Amino acid sequence: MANTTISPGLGSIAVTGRATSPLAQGVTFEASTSIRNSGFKVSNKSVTAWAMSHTYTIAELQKNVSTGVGYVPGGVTVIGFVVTSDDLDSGGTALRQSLVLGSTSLVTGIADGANGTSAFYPCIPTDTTDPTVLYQKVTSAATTAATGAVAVTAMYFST
Amino acid sequence: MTAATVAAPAGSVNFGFKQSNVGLTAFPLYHDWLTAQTDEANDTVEFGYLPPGITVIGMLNVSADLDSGSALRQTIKLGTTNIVATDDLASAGGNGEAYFFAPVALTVPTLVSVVTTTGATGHQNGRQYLTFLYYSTST
Repeated sequence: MANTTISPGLGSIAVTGRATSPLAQGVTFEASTSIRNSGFKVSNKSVTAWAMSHTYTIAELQKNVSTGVGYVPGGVTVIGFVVTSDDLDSGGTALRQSLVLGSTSLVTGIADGANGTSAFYPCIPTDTTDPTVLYQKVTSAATTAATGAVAVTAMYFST
Repeated sequence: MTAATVAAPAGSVNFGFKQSNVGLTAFPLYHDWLTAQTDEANDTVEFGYLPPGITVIGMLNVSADLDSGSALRQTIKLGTTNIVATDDLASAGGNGEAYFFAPVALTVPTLVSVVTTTGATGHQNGRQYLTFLYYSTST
């Protein structure tokens, strides 16, 4: 059992239930429900940010594996994400990931994990009504997967 | 053919929110594009208004692919000021783009409009979102 941690901005919370490798394609790892109420929501419409992170195992970098990196609170409108990643593809630059909020794909073709870079990605303004899991999904597998961390910071305002 | 002009939604001059503090906020506007609105230069679509008493510092542009070709170019205007010129995002869609520019202080409700500078080769219906980032400068 390969446990890992999620650091939702205010401390690290252990996530259990990681499967052993190799994983079947299409596996989804839910974020721990213990952090379902994480993320802050301000009482006005100021834009705020909520930083989440995840440390990838090799097995989690297979195609179609979705990993919950944390929750976005309910009652907000998400406008974009900052993704900062280690180089998770030591053998090339094939790795591509998407960001999926609940079941809605908001950003595709993210290459930061392939290159160890950082970028901001605007998205269609998307309302949440309940705490909603943010997944990072592998859409193209790494040439040679490498363990490493990714930070995903959601930017939103209260609705 | 005369270029189309699509007016902002009725009453939208009073839309938009303005905070009583200087916290950065965001205001999304969107439009569902139709064929006659992108087929030639100078087609103009009014998206809506931003409120007075604010300073605009940036904009997020997220659009569907409005052109099965790649010719479409748009200029995005805040009042009479071009804040983004001959932009090609809507010609392909995909992930959005963020634009930051010299801060623009608004004293009256100010119209946001998108002008087609080069018509689409093959128009495709779709939605475009413009999300403006600003803070209040007067209460």
